Amino acid sequence: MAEAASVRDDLRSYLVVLENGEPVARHAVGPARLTVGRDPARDIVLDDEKVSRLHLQAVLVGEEVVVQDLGSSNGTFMDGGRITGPTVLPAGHWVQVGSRLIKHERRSQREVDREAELQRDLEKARAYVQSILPPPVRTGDVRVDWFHCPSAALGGDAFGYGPLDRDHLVAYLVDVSGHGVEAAMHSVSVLNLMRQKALVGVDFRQPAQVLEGLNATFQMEEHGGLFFTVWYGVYSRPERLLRYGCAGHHPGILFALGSGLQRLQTRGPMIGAVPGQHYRSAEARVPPGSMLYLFSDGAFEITTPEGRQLGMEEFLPLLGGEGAGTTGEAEGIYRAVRARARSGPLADDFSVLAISFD
Amino acid sequence: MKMEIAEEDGVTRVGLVGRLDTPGVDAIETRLTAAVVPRGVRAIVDLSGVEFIGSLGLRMLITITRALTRRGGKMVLYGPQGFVAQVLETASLDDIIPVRPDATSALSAVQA
Repeated sequence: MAEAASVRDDLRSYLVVLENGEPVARHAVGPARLTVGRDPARDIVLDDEKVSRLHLQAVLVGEEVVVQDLGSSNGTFMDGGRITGPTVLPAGHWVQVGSRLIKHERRSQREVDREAELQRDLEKARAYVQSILPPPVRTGDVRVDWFHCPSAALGGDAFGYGPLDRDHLVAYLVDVSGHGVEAAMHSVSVLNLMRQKALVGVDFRQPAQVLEGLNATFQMEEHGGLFFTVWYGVYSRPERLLRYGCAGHHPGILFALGSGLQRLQTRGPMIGAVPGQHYRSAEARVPPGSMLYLFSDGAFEITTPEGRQLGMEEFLPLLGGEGAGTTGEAEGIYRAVRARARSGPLADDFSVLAISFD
Repeated sequence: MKMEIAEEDGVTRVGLVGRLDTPGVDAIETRLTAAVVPRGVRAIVDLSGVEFIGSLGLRMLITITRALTRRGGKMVLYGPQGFVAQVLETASLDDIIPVRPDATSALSAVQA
């Protein structure tokens, strides 16, 4: 009983800012007024044009959080109605300000500390995932630029590239179903296996063999019901040929001089879904000056602010343009996608690799 | 995400309307699984009202199909439109779950 009482006494009120349902900031509420607005001088700053510079205030009165709209242009809403005058915001309830929700939570210091610790752990995990992605390649006859942005702290996208031997280079992109911690753990285990080339009896120069080896290793029943899609390609320098294979993945896009845009795709289900599945490979010629783009579906499955669903066809014009082959191209593609999507984080992980061939 | 389930002539008919994204899957997965898997039914699933499907949506359909097959049941999808049809094609989903253009062809496939 004593412990229960002390835990209860320890409870404090917090305002938590939610973006797309995800908490992005937490502020303790006390007897001194806490201001909310777009102006950087506010205690809680919301970067949203529907939010007034000084929009709202909150103050703790006894154990109650009292909120008051300070004459904002677009109003403050609670339970679907616009609030006027000082209003009690009960614990577990929220007000809507522009596109954000601000929720009142009663938490103990211990809970808040624990959450902060979990956030730090996630941050470390994120840094680890980033560390196993190879650095961009700026010199040599084949160069790689990439941009990767998980939709949550951790994502299910991963990729790799590098030499297999003197004549062959490999590049692949893996997209594990779902996102978040579970997907990230799976993508890391797949990536590490690929980096070690640890598939018994598999010639990594042969895409179909690699896909079949992965499929034998990662059946979804043995891996928490997770599957993944993959695009895998091997470039042969002496032949100027790209051999590639897909498992449930959309095409890689090749711009070859004289041939225009080519969709490099073979048919086959995602890795882990069908035991004993056979996969195919195909080939494409890579003349000097070609560009190859690999990307996750999060790069083109975009919802516009009007709620319209965009797809691959809207994404393709962003590739192979003026910036092709330059440093920062992949990030430029991300910015162009971002500009078309509704506000908040993208719904899915975003990865784009831009590979240029001399 | 809306879901309707009805039984007709020994076939379970499932109608889905909305987005099969993460919240959409969360909203129906348990109910859909419970409705078809334990009894090992023959089911046809109308996708014509589904405007988006993400990887979790595919995963739900594959997981249910595999569980259903072990119990002697079968599931056939039909009527995917535009974006969803393209995603199913990219994933070669037809290699795992039969996909048919309409209810009539789905019915004959599920009863075959």
